[in-house]
Amino acid sequence: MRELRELAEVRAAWLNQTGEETPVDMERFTTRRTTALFSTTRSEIIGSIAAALFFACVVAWRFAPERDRLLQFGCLGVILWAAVTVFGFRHSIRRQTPQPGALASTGLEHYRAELLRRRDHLRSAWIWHGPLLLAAILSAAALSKRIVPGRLWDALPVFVLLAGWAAIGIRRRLAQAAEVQHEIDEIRGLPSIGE
Amino acid sequence: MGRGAKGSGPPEQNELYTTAVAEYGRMLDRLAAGYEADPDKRRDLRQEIHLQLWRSFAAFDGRCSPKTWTLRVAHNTAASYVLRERRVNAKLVSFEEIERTLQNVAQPRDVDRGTALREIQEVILQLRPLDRQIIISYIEGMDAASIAEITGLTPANIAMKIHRIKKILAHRMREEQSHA
Repeated sequence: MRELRELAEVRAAWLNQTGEETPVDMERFTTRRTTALFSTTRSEIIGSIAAALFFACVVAWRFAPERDRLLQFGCLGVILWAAVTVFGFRHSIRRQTPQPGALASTGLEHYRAELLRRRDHLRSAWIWHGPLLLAAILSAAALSKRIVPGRLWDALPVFVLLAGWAAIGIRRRLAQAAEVQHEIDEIRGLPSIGE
Repeated sequence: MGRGAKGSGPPEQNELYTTAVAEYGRMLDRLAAGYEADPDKRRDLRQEIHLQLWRSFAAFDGRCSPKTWTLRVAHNTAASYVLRERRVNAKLVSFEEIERTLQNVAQPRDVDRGTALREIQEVILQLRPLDRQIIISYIEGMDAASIAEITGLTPANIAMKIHRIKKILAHRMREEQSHA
């Protein structure tokens, strides 16, 4: 009886909480959200292109005269990988546009789909960090073979740092993916009305 | 459109949306409060819920009642929001995890509503989205069958979780009062 009174009090407090007075203005909200999304996407793409161009410029300036196969193919690999990353990013943004009725699925279905999408995104860590890791390994290999101009030797600590940073990034994302997978497994065990 | 909202969809879509907001608008406000504590962010979440609700009614096919449809869209929009925000927020837990941390507390004096609201919000905001759907629907006064329709879990499973909710809430209220 006591417990019921407490719960009734909780329910009354919840139902009588202060309401939201600000009116819903969807046109303004849609405009603001579109602008925010557009500016974020634009800055991401510009950032990716600028990074790739910067890398290409450095390669052309310092490495190209060496005519070493490791450098030539390695650099080509990094540039291609970076291009794949940009296209992958673009594709994932377009794929995420939901259909009008998609949100009317049951909570279980929707949450599972969201978790699966997040897990897949986290598992694709190698796509996002790969070019950086490859560039760092390539640069370190080129330095160890002494096929680069002497001045670049000074940059070795930076390459090591970049490789470490990329490796930590991949590991962190994979750990997060494992956490999400654990939650997916828990949900999979729940009895649903469709079964 | 309801409460200052504007839309340019077909008449049926606008009508469904207007009716839903008129009937469940306050419930949607409380629902947003169960997913976001910060008032400014909550306002944005509320707008997002209304936008998705209006969009969704273009595809309303009668597979469930307008109320269930409205609440599914609102909860799912909020669940996606929580997952996005979770990248920077603390770890969320389940009813079972909270239940394991409960300890015996002596019987309390009466509880006041301010305390009760604070307690319930604290509990809700640390839960995973699926459990939040259940607890919010429960304190809104919905029965196990209706909650099952929204979440997709079986009524038996919902009933078991409601039992846990009652235990957790009663414990939190006792704990709060014993500290007062």
